[in-house]
Amino acid sequence: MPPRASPRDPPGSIPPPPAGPAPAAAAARAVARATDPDPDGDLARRAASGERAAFEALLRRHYDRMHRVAWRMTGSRHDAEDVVQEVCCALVGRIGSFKGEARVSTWLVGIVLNACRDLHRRRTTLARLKEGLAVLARLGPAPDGRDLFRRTWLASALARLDPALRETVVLVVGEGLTHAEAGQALGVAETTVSWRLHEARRRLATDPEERHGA
Amino acid sequence: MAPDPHPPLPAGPEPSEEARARALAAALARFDAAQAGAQGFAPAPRPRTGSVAPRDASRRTPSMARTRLALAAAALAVVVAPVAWRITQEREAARPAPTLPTPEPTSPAPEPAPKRAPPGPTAEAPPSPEPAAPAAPEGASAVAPAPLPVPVPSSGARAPSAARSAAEVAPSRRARGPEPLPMRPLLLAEPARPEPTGRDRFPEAAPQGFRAVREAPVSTFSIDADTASYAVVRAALNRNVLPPRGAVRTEELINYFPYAYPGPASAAEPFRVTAAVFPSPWAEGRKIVQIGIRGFALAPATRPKANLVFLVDTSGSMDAPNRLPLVKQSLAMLLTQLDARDRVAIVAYAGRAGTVLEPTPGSERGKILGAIEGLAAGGGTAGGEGLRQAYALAQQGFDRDAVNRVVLATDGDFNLGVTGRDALQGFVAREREKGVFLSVLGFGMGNYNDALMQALAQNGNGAAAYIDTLGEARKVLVEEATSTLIPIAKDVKIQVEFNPATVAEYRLIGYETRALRPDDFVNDKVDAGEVGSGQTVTALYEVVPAGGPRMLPDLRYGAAPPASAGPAASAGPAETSRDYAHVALRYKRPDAEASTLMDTVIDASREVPRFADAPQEARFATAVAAFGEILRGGVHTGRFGLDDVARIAAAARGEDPFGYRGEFVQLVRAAKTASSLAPDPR
Repeated sequence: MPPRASPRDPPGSIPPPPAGPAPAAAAARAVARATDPDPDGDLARRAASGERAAFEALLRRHYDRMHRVAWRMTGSRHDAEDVVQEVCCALVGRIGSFKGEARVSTWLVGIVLNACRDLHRRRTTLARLKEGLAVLARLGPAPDGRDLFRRTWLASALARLDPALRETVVLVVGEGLTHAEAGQALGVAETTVSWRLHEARRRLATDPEERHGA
Repeated sequence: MAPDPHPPLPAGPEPSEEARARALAAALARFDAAQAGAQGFAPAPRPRTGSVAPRDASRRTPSMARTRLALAAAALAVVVAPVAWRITQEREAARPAPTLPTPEPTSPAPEPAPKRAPPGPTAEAPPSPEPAAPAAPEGASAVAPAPLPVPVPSSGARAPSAARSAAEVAPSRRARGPEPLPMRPLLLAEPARPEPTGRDRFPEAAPQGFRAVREAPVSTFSIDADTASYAVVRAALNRNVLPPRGAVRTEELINYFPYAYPGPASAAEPFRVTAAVFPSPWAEGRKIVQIGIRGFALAPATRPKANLVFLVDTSGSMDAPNRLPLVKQSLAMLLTQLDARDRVAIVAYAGRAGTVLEPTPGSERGKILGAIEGLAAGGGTAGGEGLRQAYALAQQGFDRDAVNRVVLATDGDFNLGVTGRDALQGFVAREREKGVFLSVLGFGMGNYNDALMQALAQNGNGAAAYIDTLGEARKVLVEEATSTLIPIAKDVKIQVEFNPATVAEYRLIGYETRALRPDDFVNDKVDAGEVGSGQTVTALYEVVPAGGPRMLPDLRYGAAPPASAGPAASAGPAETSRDYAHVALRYKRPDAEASTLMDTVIDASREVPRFADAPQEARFATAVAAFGEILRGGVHTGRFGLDDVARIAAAARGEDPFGYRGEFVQLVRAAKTASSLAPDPR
């Protein structure tokens, strides 16, 4: 059992145990992943060279995963569907630039996270104003309070974290990526990922009201 | 083992078949279009993705619908503009400060908006009834220079700036994702960063109660020469709010003021002890034993040189006018007290810690002031890393003949890297073994981590002060600069043994966070407080004399206490004396490892029969002690009120050259009308 990092240790000094499903299984998966060739690598190459069937197969294979990540990031089914649709369309142009430096699933999840980030930015000031006005003008629907999934999300730890930490938690805890893979997907160093996880753990452990500001 | 810190993530809804089919269809349609349009499938570089979008018919549909909606909303907005504006204002007030988009996904501590915000809103207009304006950039993306169809009069000048800023932002946005929508809150200027509230943290310490001399005749504590608590109390009362109880440390209130105790004759014996015994003003039958200590005052000309490292917190939370700007002014003031013998270095920490100025002689004022001026707030607070670098710099310039000191200026709101109090405490405790002292200057209110400051100062051989105004900065860093910077003794401990023949019970007023065990007194490994040049430290005991009104009744069962039979039953010469107490003081010279003992006896000759006959300094100290006790709940002060405190303090004002005592009397009056909870800032 690897030593568990106590709050006293500087982050990253003791690698945090892979959380999520049983640590042994996750560790085994990570080892297996490191040595296995990417099952989608072949598919991605064929899609990049213009094979329609391969592209469609790739999308079908990863649609669920992308939707799950998007939902966990945004908390809304509607947003998740929008994001994944945009990403699928954007993939048409991006598949050609995939060089195989990461696993396809990691790369796709990275694109989805980017798109969620963009959505969040677009949404923050403008859309709320617009939605408010639209509701006022009866042009748009009022938010549905009966969405149970949204309520679950709001009640969960994900809603309490800010987006950067949330991304990391979704990748490592939710998808079971290793820190290195998560770093690739997010475009940050592996130690940054470890640090973010430690930070997320710390924030969730302390009183939710007590959020330190910058 | 601790429970899994990550509860399982919510599972989420299954993707609907309809959405999946829609997504696949759209993607495949694009794929086909791209295949048909391009010769082969050249890998499109990332920035081109956005520019490909408008040409594609299937991509246009969502943005066209949005444009229509935007136009409709804009048209409607003209009709309902005033109402909508008011709603917007309310929404803005309800929402926390918005963070503007910054394209930096790779930085672990995202730079907050304030850095980028100032250029933005000044380019745009101040808030005005402009619900139409945000609709414009929305439409502008697909229909680029579309003029606002809504001729709201003041929008004319704004629209071009909106389109321009949209154009500026658009290229960087395009590089990002599929839909390049420019994002500028034209309507809403960045609100002034509100001061945080309710996140102050103070060390927990319940007031001490009475102890029976026969059970615990010895009282041991560490000297506390900090003044932070008084300044915190003053800052709260100046805002017309009573300070939280945890913020009031009575010994620091008492020790804020300089007292005119007689000083030691020479530097050979660095302390002189003064004592007095007089009746307690708030309790009939009880007495106050005052113990005052004055340290040797070095003449400024002959003081040792100083090797200082200023460690400044420049995180985003220090952005308010009573924080970083005050820090800069305070440091500039301190600089006027330094000269060519001294060395000054500056380390700033925020996000990443960095050395702003290498050790520089104190005479190069221009260079040092330039470095101080260049400090700007922003980023997270990597306090642990900053401390590490500052101590490393102090070690680098370590001088055996100089006073090596790190001066930390912060609000204590550490939130990056090592933040745990234990870890930081352990670190400074180890560093003090190497001979580096620490002064902690606290700033700011609302997220002021007093508990951490105290922990650092106590463990790091130093003192903590809280600076709320320029006046306080002047006191700590100019008028009392020598005491703040130059220690004359470290690890100063006091042990008082009361004589059961004359004293039945005693209560030490304050010093709850400084209590030591009796065996800690002789143990040189145990850390205690430091005393600066010329400083005075006062400790007050409230005692119940033998035969007086007892707080702790005698035990009913068990062995009869030896003192109950009277002095005749006890053996030994000491018990027949009429002394009140014996005071032992241990201190170490700043560079010594072994402590030296000094002792004094408080005998009956120090007693006076009436409170009014007590020495003026003792009376003033008692008034301050009563004030502190009342602020902490007044459990032992009976019906003694703030008016009584003011009366006694005013009578004991004395010369008061700097006006501190007069200010204290004002504070007492303010406390009478202060409220118990601060209203929320609006």
